[in-house]
Amino acid sequence: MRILIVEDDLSTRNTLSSILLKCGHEVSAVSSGEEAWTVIRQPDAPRLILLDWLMPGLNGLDLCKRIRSIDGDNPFYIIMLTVKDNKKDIVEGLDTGTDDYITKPFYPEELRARINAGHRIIEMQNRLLSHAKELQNSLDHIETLQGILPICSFCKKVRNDSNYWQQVDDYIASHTNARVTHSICPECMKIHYPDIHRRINRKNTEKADSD
Amino acid sequence: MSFVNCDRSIFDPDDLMERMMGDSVLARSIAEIFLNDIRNRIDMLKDRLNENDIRGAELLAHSMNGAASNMAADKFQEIASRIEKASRLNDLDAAIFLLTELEDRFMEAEKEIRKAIL
Repeated sequence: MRILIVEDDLSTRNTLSSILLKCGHEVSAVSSGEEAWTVIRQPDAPRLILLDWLMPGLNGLDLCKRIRSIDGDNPFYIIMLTVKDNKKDIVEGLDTGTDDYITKPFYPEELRARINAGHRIIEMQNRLLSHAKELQNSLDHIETLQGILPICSFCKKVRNDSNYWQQVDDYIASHTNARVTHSICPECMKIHYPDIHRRINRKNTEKADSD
Repeated sequence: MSFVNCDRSIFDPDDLMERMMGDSVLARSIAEIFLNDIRNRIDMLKDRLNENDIRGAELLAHSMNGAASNMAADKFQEIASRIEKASRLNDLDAAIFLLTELEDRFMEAEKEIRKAIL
């Protein structure tokens, strides 16, 4: 799991980094809310953030509000880590948008368990997001198939999504899972292959008579 | 590891070892960082209080409070916490008054930490 630590105190930041590395996580650590904001806006930013509350400059609570204002389909999981341990502070932290709350001094076992809980939520979020994308793709596909299909009155080519005219069989092959095989209908057989058409007709008549 | 001669009211090495997952190398490394960092922060705190920057002093005292709690340096933490509260209440005189005690508690904590794990 990739984790971003935001903590202004050097010894606490190092303790957190060392413990999380020991637990097998990949860690990035910054010492201010401003630095964290730069990291968080990157497309590949870690999804789990361990955030100190009181820091000079942009504090943890204000950073949390900023993060929630940009959260999209895949929100960050934020754990507030602070000395502030009274009920009022915990409620304020959670109301602002943090997902979990750990008070200092922290114990590695509790930290590990809460990080794992966050990891489970992020994994579940990712799975839901992936299913939602698959569903959306299927819906888009169905909409395309159900939409009006412009077809040439003479050559019967179909106009595709990119405004190109395609043979009907090419269009079907590229827009569905159906496999196209080529054959000749009786009317076309009569026009294009009259001899074969006559022979088939004759055979069919003889077979009907013998039956 | 056993820490027989340590004054646990000042520094509790067993508690620190538990926080460091029993890793004595990590505990020593964090202790060195803590001592150097806090020394600098005490100097910065003095500057903030001399400049009447009470919010800056509050943040510094808060950060020392958190660091000391993770280091299991209880008495030092208690004074840092009192300076943080005094600063939050804009009581500059009380915060300045507690500075000497903060320095004393830090020296005491450093002595115990060095004796136990460094």
